[in-house]
Amino acid sequence: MSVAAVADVATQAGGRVRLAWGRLRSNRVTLAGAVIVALVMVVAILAPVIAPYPALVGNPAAVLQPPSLAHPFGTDQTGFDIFSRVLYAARLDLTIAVGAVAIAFSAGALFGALAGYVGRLPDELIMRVMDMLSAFPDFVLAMGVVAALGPSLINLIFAIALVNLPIYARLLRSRVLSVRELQYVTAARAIGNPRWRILLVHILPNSIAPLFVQSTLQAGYAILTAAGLSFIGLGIKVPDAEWGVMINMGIRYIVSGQWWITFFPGAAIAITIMGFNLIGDGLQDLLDPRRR
Amino acid sequence: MPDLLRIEGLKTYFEGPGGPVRVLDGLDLAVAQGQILGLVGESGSGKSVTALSVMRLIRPPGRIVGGRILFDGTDLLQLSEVGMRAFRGRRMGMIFQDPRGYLNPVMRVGMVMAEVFRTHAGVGRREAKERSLEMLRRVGLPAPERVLRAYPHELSGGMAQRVMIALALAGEPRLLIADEPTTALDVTVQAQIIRLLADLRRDLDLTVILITHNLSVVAEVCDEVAVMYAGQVVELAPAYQVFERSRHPYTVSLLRARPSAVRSRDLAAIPGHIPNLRRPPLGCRFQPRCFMAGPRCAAEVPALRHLEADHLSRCHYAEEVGERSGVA
Repeated sequence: MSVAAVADVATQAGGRVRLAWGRLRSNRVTLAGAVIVALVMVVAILAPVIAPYPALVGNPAAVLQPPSLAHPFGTDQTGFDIFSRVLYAARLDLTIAVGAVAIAFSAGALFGALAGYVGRLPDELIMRVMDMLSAFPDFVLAMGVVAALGPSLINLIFAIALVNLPIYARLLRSRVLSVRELQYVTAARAIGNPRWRILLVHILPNSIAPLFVQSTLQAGYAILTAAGLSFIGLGIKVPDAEWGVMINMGIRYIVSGQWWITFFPGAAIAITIMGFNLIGDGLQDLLDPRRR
Repeated sequence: MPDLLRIEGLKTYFEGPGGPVRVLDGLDLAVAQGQILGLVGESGSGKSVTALSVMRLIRPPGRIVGGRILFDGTDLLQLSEVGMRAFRGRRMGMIFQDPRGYLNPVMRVGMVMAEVFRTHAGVGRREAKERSLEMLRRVGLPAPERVLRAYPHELSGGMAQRVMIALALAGEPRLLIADEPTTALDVTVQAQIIRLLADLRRDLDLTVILITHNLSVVAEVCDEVAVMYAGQVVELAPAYQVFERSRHPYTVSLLRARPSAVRSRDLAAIPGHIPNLRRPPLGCRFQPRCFMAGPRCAAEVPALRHLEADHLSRCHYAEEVGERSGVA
């Protein structure tokens, strides 16, 4: 490769990064979402460093204290520092969100691609099972699954993934159905490509983008569902640091005026979900051909 | 020369609510090794469906319901999908009307080309790149390195069509089916692409089926011409004979409908439309629009018959077409 060619490639790559960054910056809403989610991730990773107290060691001498300099978010009935626990909880909640979305994305994409590309009987079988799954109210289904399998982190992730599965499968199936009729797919067949390669190389890369948008939204809902299940005692167990568990632990103290026990984990849930949703909205705009 | 491709009684139907649409209904066609066959006809006469049928790329609701497609003696319609794959790309390639639409938008040209070489020739990454460059040069693309790195939207229409040709020829096929390869291009580029096809035919001993509705293109490069009407071939003859001594009234009408730069005259549009292929007219399919139609035409289906050894026509009055049309 000549020097000029190398330079050419370099500018091309640089140009693409700059283009993406430019688009992101021009869309302040998305940027805000990205900043929020990035912050939550940093907090999760650095929790042991930045948290002033451990997550699971209470101080019996400081019980039910309101927010102060020593305890910015106050303490709960066992003397746990709410601020530290809100930080630590980001780890569990993000793990659940990412895990559930990753599983639902992969399995849903696999089923959706098979249904859309193979058609006929596999299509019918897969889509009717998806219909059955989505016939249940999301939360009730997740509840049932965790109750049946027993409350644990793994089962919680699995249950949330299962609830999200049909969304991904439907989305990809519909994309595959339209993309597989496009001209370049016919051309790929005319060249003599085997079917699996046409699906993997020509159809999937042109079909998958909406699933990423969906994932940011689903990640938010996954946290909400996880917190909800933990709140009612299915999923993460008291006293582990998880936002839903923390709200559960503070619920009896709302009436008596110790609002901070439930308020701060609740706010953490709300802000994190908002971050994910803002990213999702922005991505949707970026991928919308009418706005190009 | 023996026939490389021979189509006998091909029927391709498209299922619809009102019964099947008989887009191809008993199509007969033959191309000899090394020839360029022009396939002409109005829009809707079944030219593209013929091409897709030969490649077995018809998608539901379309279905090939009968006939034989003999490629060098092998009936393609008897092959399994996997068996067919050995033919696509390796023995027959196809190029299309809108070249950019037929290139995967998220893949660089180099990736698509490497894919073809690695599939067909089973070569490694480096070798595939070498061959891609060679092939791109072969189809007359300057700066092939640059083209390899380009995405389809960065190519002009003419460049994209050259890339398509390179892709189609990468597996060294013997037959190239070109479905209106120049219709979407500028006039100057059209001429270049047609000349390229003619050169490639000569250099690579290709057999070409050139689908077009541009009769000047046919006159320029084709050895043989097949005129299609309503899913059937109505005339098949050496190109000069089709132009000089048409033996089917539809061909005569097509030639009259062609604009001429020399004589200024009104274009003679063919009255009426392509018939409803769900219920084609009784007798001859062209008879409702034909200037020569007689009582026999509505009653009796004309066969595609030999007038001379190399001239076939599907008209009861083929012998009289010359005098009655006033053409020659």
